[in-house]
Amino acid sequence: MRSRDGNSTFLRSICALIFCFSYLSGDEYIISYRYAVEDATLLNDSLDISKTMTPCRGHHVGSPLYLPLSNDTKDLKKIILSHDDEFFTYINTLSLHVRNFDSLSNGMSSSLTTVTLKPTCFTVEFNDNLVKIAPFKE
Amino acid sequence: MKYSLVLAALLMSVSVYANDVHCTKGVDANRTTTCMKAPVDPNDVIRDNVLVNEVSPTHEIRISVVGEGVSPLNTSSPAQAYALAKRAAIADGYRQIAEKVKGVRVEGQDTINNMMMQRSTVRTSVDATIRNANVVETSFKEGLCEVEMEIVLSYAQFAR
Repeated sequence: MRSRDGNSTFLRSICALIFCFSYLSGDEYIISYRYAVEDATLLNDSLDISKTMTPCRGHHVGSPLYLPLSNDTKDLKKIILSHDDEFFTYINTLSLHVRNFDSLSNGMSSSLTTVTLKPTCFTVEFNDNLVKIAPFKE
Repeated sequence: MKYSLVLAALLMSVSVYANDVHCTKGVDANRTTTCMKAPVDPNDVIRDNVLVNEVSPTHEIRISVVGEGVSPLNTSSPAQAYALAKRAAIADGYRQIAEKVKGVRVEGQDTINNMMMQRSTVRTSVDATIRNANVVETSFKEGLCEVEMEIVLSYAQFAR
Protein backbone atom coordinates (compact mmCIF):
# COMPACT_ATOMS: atom_id res chain seq x y z
CA MET A 1 0.00 0.00 0.00
CA ARG A 2 1.35 3.43 -0.99
CA SER A 3 1.85 6.05 1.78
CA ARG A 4 0.92 9.71 1.55
CA ASP A 5 4.62 10.69 1.34
CA GLY A 6 5.13 8.29 -1.56
CA ASN A 7 2.26 9.88 -3.45
CA SER A 8 3.60 13.39 -2.96
CA THR A 9 7.02 12.36 -4.28
CA PHE A 10 5.36 10.81 -7.29
CA LEU A 11 3.30 13.97 -7.92
CA ARG A 12 6.38 16.14 -7.51
CA SER A 13 8.28 14.13 -10.12
CA ILE A 14 5.33 14.35 -12.52
CA CYS A 15 5.18 18.14 -12.04
CA ALA A 16 8.93 18.38 -12.64
CA LEU A 17 8.57 16.36 -15.86
CA ILE A 18 5.71 18.57 -17.08
CA PHE A 19 7.79 21.68 -16.31
CA CYS A 20 10.78 20.26 -18.18
CA PHE A 21 8.65 19.36 -21.22
CA SER A 22 7.00 22.78 -21.26
CA TYR A 23 10.44 24.39 -21.17
CA LEU A 24 11.75 22.13 -23.93
CA SER A 25 8.70 22.69 -26.16
CA GLY A 26 10.23 26.01 -27.24
CA ASP A 27 9.19 29.62 -27.64
CA GLU A 28 6.20 30.76 -29.59
CA TYR A 29 6.52 33.39 -32.30
CA ILE A 30 4.11 35.16 -34.59
CA ILE A 31 5.55 35.28 -38.10
CA SER A 32 4.11 37.09 -41.09
CA TYR A 33 5.61 37.51 -44.54
CA ARG A 34 4.53 39.55 -47.49
CA TYR A 35 5.98 40.21 -50.91
CA ALA A 36 4.81 42.19 -53.90
CA VAL A 37 5.50 41.55 -57.56
CA GLU A 38 5.00 44.33 -60.07
CA ASP A 39 5.06 43.56 -63.80
CA ALA A 40 6.67 40.14 -63.24
CA THR A 41 9.50 41.61 -61.14
CA LEU A 42 9.83 41.37 -57.37
CA LEU A 43 9.09 44.81 -55.94
CA ASN A 44 9.59 44.34 -52.20
CA ASP A 45 9.20 41.86 -49.39
CA SER A 46 8.85 42.12 -45.63
CA LEU A 47 9.26 39.59 -42.85
CA ASP A 48 7.81 40.42 -39.43
CA ILE A 49 8.56 38.34 -36.36
CA SER A 50 7.57 38.88 -32.76
CA LYS A 51 7.28 36.76 -29.65
CA THR A 52 3.76 35.93 -28.59
CA MET A 53 2.30 37.76 -25.61
CA THR A 54 -0.26 35.05 -24.92
CA PRO A 55 0.13 31.32 -25.53
CA CYS A 56 -1.00 30.07 -28.92
CA ARG A 57 -4.05 27.85 -29.05
CA GLY A 58 -4.43 24.85 -31.28
CA HIS A 59 -2.17 22.09 -32.45
CA HIS A 60 0.82 21.67 -34.72
CA VAL A 61 0.07 21.04 -38.37
CA GLY A 62 2.27 19.56 -41.07
CA SER A 63 5.94 18.76 -40.88
CA PRO A 64 8.28 21.27 -39.20
CA LEU A 65 11.05 23.24 -40.89
CA TYR A 66 14.64 22.66 -39.74
CA LEU A 67 17.16 25.41 -40.35
CA PRO A 68 20.85 25.06 -39.54
CA LEU A 69 22.42 27.45 -37.02
CA SER A 70 25.51 28.99 -38.61
CA ASN A 71 26.74 30.91 -35.55
CA ASP A 72 25.51 31.26 -31.99
CA THR A 73 22.86 33.84 -32.76
CA LYS A 74 19.37 33.22 -31.43
CA ASP A 75 17.82 36.01 -33.46
CA LEU A 76 15.14 34.21 -35.42
CA LYS A 77 14.83 36.93 -38.05
CA LYS A 78 18.54 36.76 -38.87
CA ILE A 79 18.38 32.96 -39.07
CA ILE A 80 15.39 33.01 -41.40
CA LEU A 81 16.84 35.76 -43.60
CA SER A 82 20.08 33.81 -43.96
CA HIS A 83 18.04 30.80 -45.16
CA ASP A 84 15.22 32.69 -46.86
CA ASP A 85 14.97 30.31 -49.81
CA GLU A 86 14.24 27.30 -47.54
CA PHE A 87 11.78 29.35 -45.49
CA PHE A 88 10.04 30.62 -48.61
CA THR A 89 9.73 27.09 -50.04
CA TYR A 90 8.35 25.91 -46.71
CA ILE A 91 5.65 28.57 -46.38
CA ASN A 92 4.28 27.55 -49.78
CA THR A 93 2.78 24.54 -47.99
CA LEU A 94 0.89 26.85 -45.60
CA SER A 95 -2.08 29.07 -46.39
CA LEU A 96 -1.03 32.04 -48.51
CA HIS A 97 -3.27 34.91 -49.44
CA VAL A 98 -2.98 36.10 -53.05
CA ARG A 99 -4.23 39.42 -54.31
CA ASN A 100 -3.71 40.59 -57.87
CA PHE A 101 -4.66 43.73 -59.77
CA ASP A 102 -4.21 43.98 -63.53
CA SER A 103 -4.96 47.10 -65.47
CA LEU A 104 -5.07 47.67 -69.22
CA SER A 105 -5.52 51.28 -70.16
CA ASN A 106 -5.13 52.54 -73.75
CA GLY A 107 -2.93 49.59 -74.62
CA MET A 108 -0.66 49.97 -71.57
CA SER A 109 -0.86 47.10 -69.10
CA SER A 110 0.33 46.89 -65.51
CA SER A 111 0.13 44.15 -62.94
CA LEU A 112 0.58 44.03 -59.18
CA THR A 113 0.46 40.76 -57.24
CA THR A 114 0.78 40.51 -53.47
CA VAL A 115 1.38 37.20 -51.69
CA THR A 116 0.91 37.25 -47.92
CA LEU A 117 1.49 34.77 -45.12
CA LYS A 118 -0.94 36.10 -42.55
CA PRO A 119 0.36 36.38 -38.95
CA THR A 120 0.75 32.74 -37.95
CA CYS A 121 1.86 31.26 -34.66
CA PHE A 122 4.98 29.07 -34.79
CA THR A 123 6.78 27.10 -32.11
CA VAL A 124 10.51 27.65 -32.38
CA GLU A 125 13.02 25.34 -30.70
CA PHE A 126 16.68 26.25 -30.66
CA ASN A 127 18.90 23.18 -30.45
CA ASP A 128 22.68 22.88 -30.60
CA ASN A 129 23.07 23.24 -34.33
CA LEU A 130 19.59 23.72 -35.77
CA VAL A 131 16.30 25.49 -35.29
CA LYS A 132 12.98 23.68 -35.50
CA ILE A 133 10.05 25.83 -36.67
CA ALA A 134 6.57 24.30 -36.53
CA PRO A 135 3.31 26.11 -37.32
CA PHE A 136 0.20 26.09 -35.14
CA LYS A 137 -3.37 25.83 -36.28
CA GLU A 138 -6.44 26.52 -34.16
CA MET B 1 -38.35 -20.95 -91.57
CA LYS B 2 -35.55 -19.06 -93.31
CA TYR B 3 -37.56 -15.81 -93.24
CA SER B 4 -38.46 -16.27 -89.59
CA LEU B 5 -34.74 -16.58 -88.69
CA VAL B 6 -33.93 -13.38 -90.61
CA LEU B 7 -36.85 -11.64 -88.89
CA ALA B 8 -35.64 -12.75 -85.46
CA ALA B 9 -32.11 -11.46 -86.21
CA LEU B 10 -33.55 -8.13 -87.34
CA LEU B 11 -35.64 -7.82 -84.19
CA MET B 12 -32.61 -8.56 -82.01
CA SER B 13 -30.47 -5.94 -83.73
CA VAL B 14 -33.26 -3.36 -83.36
CA SER B 15 -33.61 -4.10 -79.63
CA VAL B 16 -29.81 -3.74 -79.12
CA TYR B 17 -29.90 -0.39 -80.92
CA ALA B 18 -32.85 0.72 -78.77
CA ASN B 19 -30.81 0.01 -75.62
CA ASP B 20 -27.99 2.21 -76.90
CA VAL B 21 -30.15 5.18 -77.80
CA HIS B 22 -32.61 6.97 -75.52
CA CYS B 23 -35.25 8.77 -77.52
CA THR B 24 -37.83 11.18 -76.21
CA LYS B 25 -40.72 12.39 -78.24
CA GLY B 26 -41.73 16.02 -78.07
CA VAL B 27 -45.00 16.92 -76.34
CA ASP B 28 -46.14 19.45 -78.87
CA ALA B 29 -45.89 19.30 -82.64
CA ASN B 30 -43.32 22.07 -82.87
CA ARG B 31 -40.72 20.26 -80.78
CA THR B 32 -38.62 17.81 -82.69
CA THR B 33 -37.84 14.38 -81.43
CA THR B 34 -34.44 14.26 -79.72
CA CYS B 35 -32.33 11.19 -79.37
CA MET B 36 -29.41 10.91 -77.04
CA LYS B 37 -26.71 8.31 -76.92
CA ALA B 38 -26.47 6.20 -73.75
CA PRO B 39 -23.91 7.42 -71.19
CA VAL B 40 -20.39 6.25 -71.93
CA ASP B 41 -18.53 7.97 -69.08
CA PRO B 42 -19.43 6.39 -65.70
CA ASN B 43 -19.93 9.92 -64.35
CA ASP B 44 -22.45 10.81 -67.07
CA VAL B 45 -26.09 10.78 -66.01
CA ILE B 46 -29.16 11.64 -68.08
CA ARG B 47 -31.36 13.99 -66.09
CA ASP B 48 -34.43 15.61 -67.69
CA ASN B 49 -33.21 14.43 -71.08
CA VAL B 50 -29.94 16.32 -70.63
CA LEU B 51 -26.62 14.57 -70.42
CA VAL B 52 -25.04 15.71 -67.15
CA ASN B 53 -21.52 14.89 -66.03
CA GLU B 54 -22.04 14.04 -62.39
CA VAL B 55 -18.71 13.93 -60.54
CA SER B 56 -18.42 12.41 -57.09
CA PRO B 57 -17.38 14.87 -54.32
CA THR B 58 -14.16 12.93 -53.70
CA HIS B 59 -13.12 13.13 -57.36
CA GLU B 60 -9.67 14.77 -57.58
CA ILE B 61 -9.03 17.79 -59.77
CA ARG B 62 -5.42 18.61 -60.59
CA ILE B 63 -4.77 22.19 -61.66
CA SER B 64 -1.40 22.89 -63.24
CA VAL B 65 -0.05 26.32 -64.19
CA VAL B 66 3.25 27.84 -65.36
CA GLY B 67 4.22 31.09 -63.66
CA GLU B 68 6.77 33.45 -65.14
CA GLY B 69 9.00 35.96 -63.41
CA VAL B 70 11.86 38.23 -64.43
CA SER B 71 14.90 39.11 -62.35
CA PRO B 72 15.45 42.82 -61.61
CA LEU B 73 18.22 44.62 -63.49
CA ASN B 74 20.22 45.64 -60.41
CA THR B 75 21.12 42.25 -58.94
CA SER B 76 24.52 41.61 -57.40
CA SER B 77 24.88 37.97 -58.48
CA PRO B 78 23.25 35.38 -60.76
CA ALA B 79 22.10 33.49 -57.67
CA GLN B 80 20.26 36.54 -56.37
CA ALA B 81 18.73 37.11 -59.82
CA TYR B 82 17.52 33.51 -59.84
CA ALA B 83 16.05 33.73 -56.32
CA LEU B 84 14.19 36.96 -57.06
CA ALA B 85 12.92 35.78 -60.44
CA LYS B 86 11.72 32.53 -58.88
CA ARG B 87 9.78 34.40 -56.24
CA ALA B 88 8.11 36.54 -58.89
CA ALA B 89 7.32 33.43 -60.94
CA ILE B 90 5.74 31.71 -57.93
CA ALA B 91 3.55 34.76 -57.32
CA ASP B 92 2.44 34.58 -60.95
CA GLY B 93 1.69 30.87 -60.51
CA TYR B 94 -0.39 31.61 -57.42
CA ARG B 95 -2.31 34.25 -59.36
CA GLN B 96 -3.11 31.79 -62.13
CA ILE B 97 -4.23 29.11 -59.67
CA ALA B 98 -6.45 31.66 -57.90
CA GLU B 99 -7.91 32.72 -61.25
CA LYS B 100 -8.78 29.13 -62.14
CA VAL B 101 -10.14 28.11 -58.76
CA LYS B 102 -11.93 31.23 -57.57
CA GLY B 103 -12.40 33.31 -60.69
CA VAL B 104 -11.57 36.83 -61.78
CA ARG B 105 -13.43 40.08 -61.18
CA VAL B 106 -13.44 42.20 -64.34
CA GLU B 107 -14.34 45.87 -64.53
CA GLY B 108 -14.36 47.93 -67.71
CA GLN B 109 -14.69 51.65 -68.28
CA ASP B 110 -14.83 53.51 -71.60
CA THR B 111 -14.84 57.29 -71.82
CA ILE B 112 -16.36 58.70 -75.02
CA ASN B 113 -16.33 62.40 -75.85
CA ASN B 114 -17.97 63.86 -78.98
CA MET B 115 -18.53 60.37 -80.34
CA MET B 116 -14.84 59.58 -80.00
CA MET B 117 -13.21 57.10 -77.67
CA GLN B 118 -11.03 59.01 -75.23
CA ARG B 119 -10.00 56.32 -72.83
CA SER B 120 -10.61 52.59 -72.44
CA THR B 121 -9.67 50.80 -69.25
CA VAL B 122 -10.08 47.18 -68.21
CA ARG B 123 -9.24 46.21 -64.65
CA THR B 124 -9.12 42.64 -63.37
CA SER B 125 -8.61 41.55 -59.79
CA VAL B 126 -8.16 38.25 -57.99
CA ASP B 127 -8.41 37.62 -54.25
CA ALA B 128 -7.96 34.13 -52.80
CA THR B 129 -6.25 32.03 -50.16
CA ILE B 130 -4.30 29.04 -51.43
CA ARG B 131 -2.87 26.15 -49.48
CA ASN B 132 -0.72 23.17 -50.49
CA ALA B 133 0.37 24.40 -53.90
CA ASN B 134 3.42 22.50 -55.07
CA VAL B 135 6.31 23.70 -57.20
CA VAL B 136 6.82 20.86 -59.69
CA GLU B 137 9.57 22.20 -61.93
CA THR B 138 11.70 25.33 -62.20
CA SER B 139 13.73 26.60 -65.13
CA PHE B 140 15.81 29.77 -65.42
CA LYS B 141 17.04 31.04 -68.76
CA GLU B 142 18.23 34.51 -69.78
CA GLY B 143 16.71 36.21 -66.77
CA LEU B 144 13.30 34.57 -67.15
CA CYS B 145 12.25 32.04 -64.54
CA GLU B 146 9.44 29.61 -65.30
CA VAL B 147 7.87 27.69 -62.46
CA GLU B 148 5.40 24.88 -62.98
CA MET B 149 3.01 24.69 -60.07
CA GLU B 150 0.13 22.39 -59.34
CA ILE B 151 -2.61 22.01 -56.79
CA VAL B 152 -4.82 18.99 -56.17
CA LEU B 153 -8.38 19.66 -55.05
CA SER B 154 -11.35 17.44 -54.43
CA TYR B 155 -14.43 18.22 -56.51
CA ALA B 156 -16.24 19.31 -53.34
CA GLN B 157 -13.50 21.88 -52.61
CA PHE B 158 -13.48 23.09 -56.20
CA ALA B 159 -17.26 23.50 -56.41
CA ARG B 160 -17.47 25.37 -53.09
